[in-house]
Amino acid sequence: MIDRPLVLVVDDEPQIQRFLRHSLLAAGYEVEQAETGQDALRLIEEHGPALIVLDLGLPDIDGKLVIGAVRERRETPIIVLSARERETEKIAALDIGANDYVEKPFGIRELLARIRVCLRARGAGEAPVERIAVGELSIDLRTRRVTVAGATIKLTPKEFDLLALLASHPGRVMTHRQILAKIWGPAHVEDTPYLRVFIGQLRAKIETDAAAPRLILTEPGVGYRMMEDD
Amino acid sequence: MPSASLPLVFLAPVLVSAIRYGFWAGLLAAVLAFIGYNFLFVEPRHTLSVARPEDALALGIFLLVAAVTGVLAGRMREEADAARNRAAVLEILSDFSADLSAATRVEAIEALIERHLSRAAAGQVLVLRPDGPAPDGGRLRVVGGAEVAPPLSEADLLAADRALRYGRPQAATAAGWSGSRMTFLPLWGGDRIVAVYGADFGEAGSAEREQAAEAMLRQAELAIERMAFAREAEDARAAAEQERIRSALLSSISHDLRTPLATILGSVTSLREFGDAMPSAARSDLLLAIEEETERLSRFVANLLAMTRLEAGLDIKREWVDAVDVAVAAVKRARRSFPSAIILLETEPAATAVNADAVLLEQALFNLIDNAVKFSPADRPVRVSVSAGGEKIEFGVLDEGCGIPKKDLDQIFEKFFRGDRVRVAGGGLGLAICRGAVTALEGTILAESPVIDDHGTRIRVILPAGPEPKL
Repeated sequence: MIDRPLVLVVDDEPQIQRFLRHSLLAAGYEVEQAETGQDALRLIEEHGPALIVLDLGLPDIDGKLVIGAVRERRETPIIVLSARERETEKIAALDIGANDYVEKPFGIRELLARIRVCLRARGAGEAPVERIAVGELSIDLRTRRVTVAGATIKLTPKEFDLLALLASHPGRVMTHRQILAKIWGPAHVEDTPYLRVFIGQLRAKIETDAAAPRLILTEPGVGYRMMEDD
Repeated sequence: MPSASLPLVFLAPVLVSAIRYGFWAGLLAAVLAFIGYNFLFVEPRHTLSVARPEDALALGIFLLVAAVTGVLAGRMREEADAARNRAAVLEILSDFSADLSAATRVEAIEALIERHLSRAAAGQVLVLRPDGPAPDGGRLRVVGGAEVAPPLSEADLLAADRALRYGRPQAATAAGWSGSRMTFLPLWGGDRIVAVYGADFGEAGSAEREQAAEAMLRQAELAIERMAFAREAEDARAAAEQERIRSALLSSISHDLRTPLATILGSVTSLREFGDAMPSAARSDLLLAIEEETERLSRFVANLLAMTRLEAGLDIKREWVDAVDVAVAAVKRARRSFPSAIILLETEPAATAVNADAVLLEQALFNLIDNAVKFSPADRPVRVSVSAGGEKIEFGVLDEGCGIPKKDLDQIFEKFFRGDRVRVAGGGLGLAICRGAVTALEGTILAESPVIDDHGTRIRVILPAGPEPKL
């Protein structure tokens, strides 16, 4: 029997735990459950799960503190469960080290897809890639050449860096701050309008229809996500 | 030459009239005394001529003494008058500030000004109000006191208008006086003049009375300002409370709607995704979760609707319903919703009719049971009781949970209040609806805790009972 990755679900709602348990087991994961932040931290130490699904609204401690505590020693992927209207909370969670988020209520497919992306990105961490392909888009990181359906696209250096950054985390959300800090430096983390302009230019060059982007997806209020190439 | 005491007899009326009627009267009396004395007693008698020079000297001294006496006595009298006037003014002022401190509304303050100002003016006070925003559109209209005061002269109107335009008192005694008989005092309320008072302070001591009136109005203005601040503070507090309720409502809806929705959506998509790949026990558990959460949703929606209905104050039907019937219905629904809970119903055989909206009352009782079940240990019963006594019907719901801290007892019926001990799901609407419903039905609701040793809670709902209607 193949090794089943252990997923720790941290949520204080028994009903949420209930269906997550059934579906994660059916999807081939081991499941461990915690209802409080304290329990979660203890279980993480004891069992070292492959991935953590974390509700931010815990009865004892703020979910963000759990993320911070985990990130002090571990790279375990964390997927945050949050409410749609709590953008600041989601962004804060992502900025302090959560890998992705899912808005409640969610379909199980969406969560499972996120879990797969996070686990895969982790497994593929070792060898640096030279080429990234997403649909018809192809990026050569060494020669900095970008093609869409075989045709070469001219990008400015900043546009290329932006595209390369998003494409090297396929299927994963990146917050405005994370992108701005990586491409323009820590002094520019607040320059979201700037980023929006660059994303617009990039979309105009690589998307078939810039008004209905399929490669670079907007996560409203949070950041951007490169389409995942299934 | 008459006896030496005779001139002194003539001085007496001078003194008396100066003391009684003041300086000028004294002086007049002195002149009359001088003429009378000369006429009656100085040679040649019965004429005003003086024959001997020593008599002329005596007469001159007499006149001097009479005049000085008159002046001194008159001044004394005037000072006594002024002192009395000041005392009276001070008394009015102190009465005014005492009354002012008790006033809570601007209208009350204005009434106080009118009353005390008319004391200070020893007469009726005119109240004028601007009919538009000063300084442009405002024209004064007399709104009070006109029935007693004589009609206003041209000069009066001018002074009143100036008081409004300049926002400063126009005193009848002021330098550069307009000729107005009355003094006009504007009353500022915040950044505009709310009224102008006209008062005739007469002659005697009018300057002091005018000053007192100005002081009165300044005090009143301060009081009005204080009131405005207090109202602002109150508004801010109310707004904060509103904000708290709104954010509590949001988080309650977010929680109480989203959790069941998330469960239902998650369970349904799991069933669709995995179907037969899932063990059948897991499948039926998911279906059960869907059923439970749908019911939870529907309970929450019922409560939201009940709350809306109560807050809008509409559609509450009062009729004679059997108290036991309502309790039985609530218990039945609760047993269905919480199958694992032990819910006991104890009724007195004589429990009678209650004048209520059956649906609302049932919802309220159900919420009480719902709440009790949440806090009750799983193996202990929740006891629902109905009893009648005198004019009252009492419903009781008792649980053996951890109880409610004393400080929270009054607050549990507040919307979205959740105690520190609360670790269970629920939006904090249920008990608020109970209170709303019971209040609408003219009953009382109260919480008692602890009721069993150091734990347990009993919620009592007391409603007016009535005789069975004659059929």
